[in-house]
Amino acid sequence: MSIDLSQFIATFLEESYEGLEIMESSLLTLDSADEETINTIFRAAHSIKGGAGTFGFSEVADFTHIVETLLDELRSGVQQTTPELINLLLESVDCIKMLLEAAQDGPEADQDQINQVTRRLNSALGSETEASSTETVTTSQNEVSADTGKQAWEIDFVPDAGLLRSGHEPAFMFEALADLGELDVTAITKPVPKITKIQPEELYLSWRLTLFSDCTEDDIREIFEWVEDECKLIVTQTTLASEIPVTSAVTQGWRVQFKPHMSLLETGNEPSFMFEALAELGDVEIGCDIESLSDFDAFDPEKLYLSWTLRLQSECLFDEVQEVFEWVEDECDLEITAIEKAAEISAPETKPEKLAPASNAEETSAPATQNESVQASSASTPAPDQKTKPEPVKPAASSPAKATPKKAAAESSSIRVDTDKIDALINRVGELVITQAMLGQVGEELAEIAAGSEVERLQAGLEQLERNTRDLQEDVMRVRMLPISFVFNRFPRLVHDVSGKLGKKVELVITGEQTEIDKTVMEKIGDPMVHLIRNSLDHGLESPEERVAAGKPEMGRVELDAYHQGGFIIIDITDDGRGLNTEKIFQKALENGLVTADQQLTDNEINELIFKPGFSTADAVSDLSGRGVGMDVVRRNIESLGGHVRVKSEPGHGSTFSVSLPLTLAILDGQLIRVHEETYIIPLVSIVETILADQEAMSSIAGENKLLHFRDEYIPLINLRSLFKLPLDENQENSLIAIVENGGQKVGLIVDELHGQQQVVIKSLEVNFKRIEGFAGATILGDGSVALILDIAGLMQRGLDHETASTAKKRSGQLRDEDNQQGAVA
Amino acid sequence: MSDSEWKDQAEMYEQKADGQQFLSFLLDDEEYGVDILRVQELRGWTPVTHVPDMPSYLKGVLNLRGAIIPVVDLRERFGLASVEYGPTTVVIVIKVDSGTCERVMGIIVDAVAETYTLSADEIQPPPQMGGAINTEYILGLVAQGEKMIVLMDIDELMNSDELAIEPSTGTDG
Repeated sequence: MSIDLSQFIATFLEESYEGLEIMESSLLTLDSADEETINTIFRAAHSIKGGAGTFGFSEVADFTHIVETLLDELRSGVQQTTPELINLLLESVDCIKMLLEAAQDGPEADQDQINQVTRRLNSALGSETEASSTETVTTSQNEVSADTGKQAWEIDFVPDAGLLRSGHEPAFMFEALADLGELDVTAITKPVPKITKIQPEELYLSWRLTLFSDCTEDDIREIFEWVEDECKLIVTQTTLASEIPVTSAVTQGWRVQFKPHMSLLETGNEPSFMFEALAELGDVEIGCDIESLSDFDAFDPEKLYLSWTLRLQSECLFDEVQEVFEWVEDECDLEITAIEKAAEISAPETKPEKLAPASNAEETSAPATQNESVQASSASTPAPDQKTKPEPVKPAASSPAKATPKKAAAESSSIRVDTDKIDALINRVGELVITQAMLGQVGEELAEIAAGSEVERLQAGLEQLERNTRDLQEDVMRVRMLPISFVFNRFPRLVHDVSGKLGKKVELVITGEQTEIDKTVMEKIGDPMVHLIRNSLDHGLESPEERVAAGKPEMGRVELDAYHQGGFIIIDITDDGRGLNTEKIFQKALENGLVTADQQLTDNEINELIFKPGFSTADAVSDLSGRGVGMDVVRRNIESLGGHVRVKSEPGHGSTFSVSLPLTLAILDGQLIRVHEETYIIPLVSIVETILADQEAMSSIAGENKLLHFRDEYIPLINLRSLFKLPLDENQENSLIAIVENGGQKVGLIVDELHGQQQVVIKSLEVNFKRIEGFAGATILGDGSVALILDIAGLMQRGLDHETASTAKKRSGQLRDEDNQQGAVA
Repeated sequence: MSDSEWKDQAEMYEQKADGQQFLSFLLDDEEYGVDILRVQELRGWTPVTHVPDMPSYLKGVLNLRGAIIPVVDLRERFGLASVEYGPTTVVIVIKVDSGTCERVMGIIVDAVAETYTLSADEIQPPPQMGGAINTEYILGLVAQGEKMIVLMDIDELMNSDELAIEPSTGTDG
C-alpha cells in the first residue's frame, strides 16, 4: 500500500511551525524548572522530529533529535535549566525553523550556524548521548524508550484460523515485536477444540501481548502488515497516561474568582444573573466574601462590597465561562482557573497491575540516577508523557505553558480553510448586501406609489432580509477574525532577546490577547508593532542603574494591551520608563528643520514630531533602533491600514503608544457625498465634523479660498471640484465642508452635498485597473453604480500645496499667541 | 479562467481550426479585430462612474457583477472624433494579460461587426505608419474582400500609458 505522502507535507510544515511557536513561548516561561512546560516543549520537538523523519527531512530530524535528547535530560533532571541552556534551545528553535524553511524550498539554511549550534548542543549533552545523536531516528527512539520506559502497548492479536496456511508464523512477529522493547506474551487457548477435532493446519490461538516500548502504533502495525487482512488486531496504549489520558486535558470544572468593582451595580449589572447563567453550564458552588463590607454607617446602597468565589462543575470551555462575565469584564477582577480532575482526586485511580509493569520497566531499563526522578514524576503528574501517543501531538491541544484555561479554549474544534475560499464567500455576501440594498430601495419606492397589505408584507419581508443579510455579513466577517495573540506571541521572544542585548531587565505583560482582528490587518500590523516595542525597550526603558537611581524597581515593565473600541481594535504599548523628552525632541526637530525656533508647540504636538520622517533622538545609533527610519514608517504603515497611532507620555513615568486599527479591511463605515455629478465616499472615521461655512469664515491665499477659520485654528481647504478638475460652482455662497483628519492634521474638504451614511464593502481598484492616488478603492452602491472611496492621506498629499499648509500653520500659531496674550491680560 | 488555462485552450483551438478567430468592431467606419478568445462578453453602453483626473479616453469604472473594471473609449484613445453614445454603442469586455495578472477591462466601440477565422498566412505585418494608432498596438492587417481589418494587440494597447500598472510601492497590497 503506497500513500503519496507529499500531500501531507504542507500540513506537517504548518504543524511544525506551530510546534516551534509553542516551544519558543514555553521556553520563555521556563525560568523555573516546571516539569509540565518541559514536557510541552519535548512533545513539540518530538512531533517535529517524527514528522520530519516520516517525510524524509533527515536534516530536520537529526537536528531535532539532538534538541530532544537535551530536553529529555532536562526533563529527567540530569541537567538543570539555566538561562544559557534556554538561550541555546531558543537558538535551536531558530535553526529548526531555518531547516524547515529550507526543506520547503525556502532559502538555504545557514549551515555554519547550524553546525555551531549542534556543537554547543552536543557539548551541553553528556558524551554518552553525543554518540547516539549520530544514529538514525528509529534507533534513537528505542533508546529514548529505554531511558524513560514508561510506555506500554497492549496488543490483542486474533488471527484467522487460516493464517498458518498462508505461510505466516506468529512467533516471528512476536520476535520482531520483542525487538521494539520488552514483550509479554499471553496465549488465549480457550477456543482450542478437543484434540480429536483439531485440524493441524488451522490456528486456534489468539494472543494478548504487552509491549513496553517507546515505539509508535505504526511501528507495531507495521509488523503485522502482512497479516492485517487475516486477523483482528487491536493496539491500545496502556501507560499511566492512558489510564487518565483525557482528564489532564479536559477540565473538570472552573474556579472563578469574581471581584467586581464597587461601581458594578451602578452600570445596571446584577451578579446573581451571572451566577444563574453559570448554573446553566453546570453545578455551581458559590462562596461569598464579605470581608470588604463597610460599616453600616458608611454603607452606600449603590455600591457593591461583595466578592465571590465560584466553583463550577462543568466540562464547558474557558470561553463559555468568560462569556458570562463579558459585560462586566472592565468592571471587575476576574480570575478563571481550571480545576482538573487530577487535582480533585487525590490519588489517580490507576489499577495497580498496570502500574506495576510500568515501574518494572523503569527499574530494568532506566539508569539508576534517573530512577528516582522518573518515578517521582509519574506519581505526581498523571500524564507526564504523552509523547508517544499514536497521533502526532496536536500543538493546539498541548500548550499548558500558558494558563490552564487556554488549554481548554484551544481545544474547541476547528478546521483549516483556504483564505481564498473565505474571501470568495465574503465577496459573495458583499454582493448579497448590495442586492438587498437595491431591493430595499425598490420596496421603498413601491410603498410611495402603492399601498395595501401586499406592499406591507413585502416591506416586512425586506426588513427581515436586511437584518438577516447584515447578520450573515457580520458572521462571515468573523470567520476571518483571529485572536491577536497570533501577533503577540512573538513578542516575549523579542523582549527576551532585545532586553538581553541592551542589558535591561524587562517584564512583558500581555493582556487582551484573545481580542479578535481581521487576518489581513493582523498580517500587516506585526512589523509596526515590533518597531514600537523595540522602541519602548530601547528608548523608553532606562538601564537598571538609572531606574534604581530614580527610585523605580530594577525590572522595567512593558505592557501590551488589546481591546475593542467602536469598530476599532486598540493596542496600547505602555512602558514605565523615562517618558518622552520634549525638550530633546524639540531640539532635534529644530536641527532637522522640522520646526522653527519661534514655533510654540504644546507637549503633545512636540511628541507627535517623533512620527515625522527623518527623526531620531537616540544619542547613539544602536543596532535596535535610532536609525531615524522608524516612527514615520510605523505611522505610514498603520495609516495605510486605516488606523492611527498616538503617543501619550509622562516624563519620568513612561509613555504609551496607542495604535487603533479597523477590525477589518473589507468593509468600512462611509459618509456618502456628492461632488459635481458623482457620489464619493469619505471613511467616517476620518471625519471630524461637517459644517456649513460662509465666505467670511474662509480666507484666501492668492485669490482662492484656501483657509478656514475653524474654532481656534486655521484649516487648509481642498476644493474637491478643483482637485478633481471638475467645473467649479461659481454662484455658491456657503460651502459645505467636511473636516477630516489624518496623521494629526486637519483638512477641510469642500463638497456639494452630504448624503447618508452607509456601511460599504471595499473593492480594490487594482484588480482590474490600478492604484489611483487619492482613492482607497471603490464600492458598489444600492443602485449598482460604483462610488469611489476617498483616501484622506492620499488626498492631502495631492491637494495640499506646501504654501497653504505652512500659512495655515503660521496663522494658527498667531491665533494661539493671541489667545495666550489675552489669557495673560485677563 | 486562469491565464494558463486560457492559453491551453487557445492553443487547442488553434490546432483544431487551423486558424485564429477574431471579433471585429467598428470605429468611425473602420473595422478592427481582436482575438475572440480575449473577449469575455459584450454589453450595451451604461453610464459609468467618472474617475477624476484621468485622460478623457478613460471614461471611468463600471460594476461588472461585483468586479470594478475600467472602461476605455477607443475612439478617444485613437484620437478620433468622439460621438454620442447610442443604442448600438457596445462595451466589449476583454481580458488583458498584464504580465503579473490578468485584468478585465471594457472598450467602447461604435458597433460589433463580425467574426472571422484567419490563418496565420492571411495576416500581414503592419506597415510603418504615423498617426494616432501606434503600430505597436497592431498585430497585423487582413484584407477581406474590399475591406481591410486592423487586428489589435490588446495586451500592448491596454497596458500602455495611463492603463499601465504602476510599479508596486510594496507598502500596501
